Amino acid sequence: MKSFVFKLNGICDAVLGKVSATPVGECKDLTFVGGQISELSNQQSSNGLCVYRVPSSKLPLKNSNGSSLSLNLGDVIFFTPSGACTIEYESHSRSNCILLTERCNSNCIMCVQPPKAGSDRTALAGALIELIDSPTDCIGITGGEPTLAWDGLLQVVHRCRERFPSTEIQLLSNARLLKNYKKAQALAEAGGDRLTVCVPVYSDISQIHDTIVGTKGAFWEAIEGIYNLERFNIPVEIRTVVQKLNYRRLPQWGEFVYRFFPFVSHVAIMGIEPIGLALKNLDAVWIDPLDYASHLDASIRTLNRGDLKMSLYNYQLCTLPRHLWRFSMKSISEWKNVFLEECDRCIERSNCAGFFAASKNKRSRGITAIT
Amino acid sequence: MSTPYHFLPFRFKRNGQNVLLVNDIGEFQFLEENQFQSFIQKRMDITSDAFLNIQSKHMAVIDQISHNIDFLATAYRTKKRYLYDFTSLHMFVITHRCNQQCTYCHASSVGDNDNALYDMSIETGKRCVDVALKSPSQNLKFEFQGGEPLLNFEAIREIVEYTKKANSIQSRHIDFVVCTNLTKLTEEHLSFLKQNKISLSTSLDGPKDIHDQCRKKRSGGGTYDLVIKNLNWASEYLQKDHVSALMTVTKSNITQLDAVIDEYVRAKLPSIFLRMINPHGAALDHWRTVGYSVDDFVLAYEKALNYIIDLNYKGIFFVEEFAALLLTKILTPFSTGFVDLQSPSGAGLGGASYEINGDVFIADEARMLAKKTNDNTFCLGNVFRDTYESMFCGQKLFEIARSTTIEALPGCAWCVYQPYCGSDPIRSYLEFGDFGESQAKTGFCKKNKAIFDLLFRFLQSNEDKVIDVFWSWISRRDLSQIRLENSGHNEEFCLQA
Repeated sequence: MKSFVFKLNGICDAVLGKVSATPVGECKDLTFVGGQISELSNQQSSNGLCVYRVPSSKLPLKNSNGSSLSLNLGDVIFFTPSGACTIEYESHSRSNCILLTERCNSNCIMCVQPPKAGSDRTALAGALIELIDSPTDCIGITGGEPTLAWDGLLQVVHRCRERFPSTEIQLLSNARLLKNYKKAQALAEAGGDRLTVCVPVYSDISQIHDTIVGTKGAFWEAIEGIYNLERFNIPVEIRTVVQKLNYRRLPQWGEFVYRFFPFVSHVAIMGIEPIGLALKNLDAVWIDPLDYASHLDASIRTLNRGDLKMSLYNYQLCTLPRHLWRFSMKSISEWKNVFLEECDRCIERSNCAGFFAASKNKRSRGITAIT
Repeated sequence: MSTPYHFLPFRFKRNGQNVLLVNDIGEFQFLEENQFQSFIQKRMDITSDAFLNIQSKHMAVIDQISHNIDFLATAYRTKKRYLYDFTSLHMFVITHRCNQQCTYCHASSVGDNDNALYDMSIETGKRCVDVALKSPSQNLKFEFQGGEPLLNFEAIREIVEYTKKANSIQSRHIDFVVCTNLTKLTEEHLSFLKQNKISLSTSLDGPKDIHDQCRKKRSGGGTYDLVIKNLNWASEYLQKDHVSALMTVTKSNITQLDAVIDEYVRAKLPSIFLRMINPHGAALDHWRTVGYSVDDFVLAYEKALNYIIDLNYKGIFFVEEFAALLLTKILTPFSTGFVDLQSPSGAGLGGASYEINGDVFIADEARMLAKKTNDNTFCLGNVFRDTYESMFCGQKLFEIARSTTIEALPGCAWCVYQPYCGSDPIRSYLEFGDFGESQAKTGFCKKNKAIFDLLFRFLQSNEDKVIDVFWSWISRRDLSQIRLENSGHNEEFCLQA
């Protein structure tokens, strides 16, 4: 989901629109008036949200600072009356994420998107699914904690399956509420054979996990949730974010994952993104990948011995031992992805995950061009 | 002062200054003696790495005991999964006739004169299949044994065809295996085996001089040349993994196991099972020429295992199956159904042996015992007279199960290796006259303990080189895949942040 600030005139309600060359249903056109967008008329659609059309002839839209907002046919955009604009769906991307709620029942010390109280976006997500013309390979459902918006989550998953039966759905959840057997069952029914749930388990030790998550008891709730998912044959991905609080037990964590979750479809080990709460708590969480290379190596060896599939997210290749490069994923979406001047000389640049644009506050001391 | 932590069940064993701790689901931890003392006296700092390692292996908790117990119960159910499968291995004795007369023959076979008295009739075979198919297991294995089963090939053909027809509605997965000395193999046999995806299991004791010492034709002379010729023929004819060989360690090859292993590699066999000879059948009569002590076996086994590990370093993928089996039990969370290492014993509950007359025994050894000494202690009944229910859910098997549940047997109950081990009621019966209560005094126990000691010495040294080989055996993957040797980049696609 991309965010922009866009100047809007005459819009009093939230607006969800799709870039389209032809009118869709009861949609109304959005047009440009003097370089700004206005609505021609305001007609409520049945689901309570206005659905608009941006004629492709009016593209590209200009951002308020004059930069171009590159939109493609089929993209879905969302405006609020305050002028915030987000691209909710990119038709040309291989993956898209739907943000379901910003509420969360955990408070992870390194959260990149700190939880916010407030209303859920389930209605928006529901309308968004209806607007999608052609599905991408994968649709992610994120939060906050999506299971807090329970009814909306089930509807979105169910409708996703109905409209796009071959699209993979990845639900990013802490699985705590899924310790409820009936909830896991309902999710399995909605998700059918296309749903994977990605669950963070930050340590083999309950008290370390609970400290990171900021909630006592979260570890065992997550484990019950994961076992319920397995009971209903929902594929599970186990994730961790390596940080100061848990890096020393990475090898034991690998063993723990293999011993107790040998059924997982994938394991993701992530480097820290120094934004959000991670930036605020930088001293408590930051650890340079160079300083845990041997722990990471031992962990991956263990997982690989057990024949589990795994990937490394958010690592620059120059901070990883060369034999681990094969696990490194280009995990940062293009529009957030930057490289440094140093990277221009690097022969591995095109294979590298690069950096989050927002992460300039802290970088590994191992960053160096590979030549 | 409140207790800083609580113990969860574990067993332990001292080895010099080191203590091995193992819990019920097979997680293990090595501690130095002083660490162990501080742990059991509850003096350990709960924030220390040493304590966290113990907590991670679920041998102590600081709180939330009930969550830990539930968690372990799930893992325990997984480990004991083989019990849900019930009897999945069914061995049919197709004939007692054999054209060979091996010195250590367990089966007490007879000559290959064409005498129907010694063959399983087709009608008996069908009744045996009817009983075997009553087993609830979704994955069944039907093994044809002898004597030399190919001497009564017609019965094999009829039984396979009858089984396929009978299984057409339930369509359970059934593997067929013919255990043959290969010397009577014909094109007709191979064509039928191929068509029905049937595997061959044969015996190869080593290079010519070793093999021919014990494995002789009844008419005189060794069988090595013919076995190798037909082994190659079968390997080309059938699917690669449908041909395997077994060997028996005897007095004649125990000092030359490296030569035996080389022979297996030469024959392009991917693995070997270094099997200790059992005091049954002809082996008992010829014990002075074929037998040896458990200590002799363990020494030879260790040497051979090291030799095989070295072969793997050299790039030859070659597995020692007994070690692979034990390591799977030790290092993975999975259930490993192997009738000789189950608790309660897999004899009867995991496998059953059907005599030519339809008598049903809990194991091949039980059937051999009856044949040799007329002792029918381990006979569950007969396929003509008794029902599946009366045999497999009857009092006798119930008693055997009760006597072979090692969790409740003296000596086994507190043995550190118990979570990986099993019991052999026939061995206990032969040595001590009971159904398993004397398990911990048998040679079976002595051998297993020594091999567990050996494997745990490797695990304690924790050399990546050796551990990688072990995992390549467990997961049947090339060593280069375990070692992360292949470089390159991740071409997969992920949901981007």
